Amino acid sequence: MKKAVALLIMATALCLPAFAAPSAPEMATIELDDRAVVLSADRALLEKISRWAAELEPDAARGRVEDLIRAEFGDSVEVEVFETGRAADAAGVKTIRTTLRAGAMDGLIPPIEGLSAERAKSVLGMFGFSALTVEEFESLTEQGRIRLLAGARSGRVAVIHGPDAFDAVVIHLMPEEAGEPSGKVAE
Amino acid sequence: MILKAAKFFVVAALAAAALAATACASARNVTESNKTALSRRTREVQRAELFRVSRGRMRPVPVVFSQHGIYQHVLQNHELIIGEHTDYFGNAMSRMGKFYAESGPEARRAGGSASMESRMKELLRIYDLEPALEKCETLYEIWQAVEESKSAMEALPARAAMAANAAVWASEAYGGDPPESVSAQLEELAVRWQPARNVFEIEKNMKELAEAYAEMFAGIAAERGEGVK
Repeated sequence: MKKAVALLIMATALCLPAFAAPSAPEMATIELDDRAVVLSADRALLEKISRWAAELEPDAARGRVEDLIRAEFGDSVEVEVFETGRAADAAGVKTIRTTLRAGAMDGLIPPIEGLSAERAKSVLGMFGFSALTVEEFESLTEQGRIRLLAGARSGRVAVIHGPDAFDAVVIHLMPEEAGEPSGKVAE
Repeated sequence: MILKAAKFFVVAALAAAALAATACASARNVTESNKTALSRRTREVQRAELFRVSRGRMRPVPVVFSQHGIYQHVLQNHELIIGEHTDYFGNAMSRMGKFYAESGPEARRAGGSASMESRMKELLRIYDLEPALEKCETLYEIWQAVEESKSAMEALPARAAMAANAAVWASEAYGGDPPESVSAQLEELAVRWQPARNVFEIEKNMKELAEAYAEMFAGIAAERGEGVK
């Protein structure tokens, strides 16, 4: 019995520092119409940021939410900005980056891999998709009708835009890359 | 009190172990039969191969990588080969489960060879090494049979996704009732697969398959006189 009591006291003494330690930063996600922002900070600050984000003007924050958070709350908060499927599902202007094959496997676009641009456009047209040239795409981007959330490094992009989610899908087809076999979708 | 708690934990642990054993019982049987088939066929083939290379002479059917590499691997690493093979099975099953769970109701309703049940049966058929091993005459062929099975399992979830989505698009193109010819094409593409032994051959097959699906839809678009919008 005495041994058990001694062990209990020792265990309590060992556990005390753990309870006394300051709370670890917590994480929260703010979903905006064009992206998701993951934050790491202490709870009080996170609550403050959440209240601030709720009053954020979407158009003013678009594309520069990280800068705004840093300007408002300083460097004590860690910020990671993600372009996610969830964010893309939200209403507003949005972009989903994908490849032709991955897009087809995810059910975003019909299979068009390996088709010429004209044939790909006819397949896309059959399902009500619009197929744009680079120039048309860039023109729309300049007009603010399409906003690319992240650099299209992969080259091929499916862009979803419109007032409602999945209102229209625009497939941005890059020119054939050097060295790639012909027959791929090209402008 | 302590005794009661200890008893509770023992019973809980035993129950968990029993549940786990039940859950993997069906897969375990195939794994065991794969292991037995691999050991038996390797012994038989090894005897035949040793006979062919006896007296220091190479006969018309040479032993590939004799004493080294694949030859030694197939002879000695049954546990490792079966372990890896089972990992591929588990991975494929989990990826397919994820796809069917996350895809929309239309994709889950895809029929024929694109259905989830059909794909799971195909996975089990691919996982079963016994029929393929029976046909092997050399240790190299045994290794190839295992690699082909692994590659087919690796590619199956992607094939399932392509087939289910193609079925949904075809259904949409024909207002929910695609003609028999289109259904037959979809069925043919859903089961199309050339044996592959490495990632490059898998990619080649997948590319050909993706292009075949695209050709099919281009054909539908041309048939319906769809122009560029």
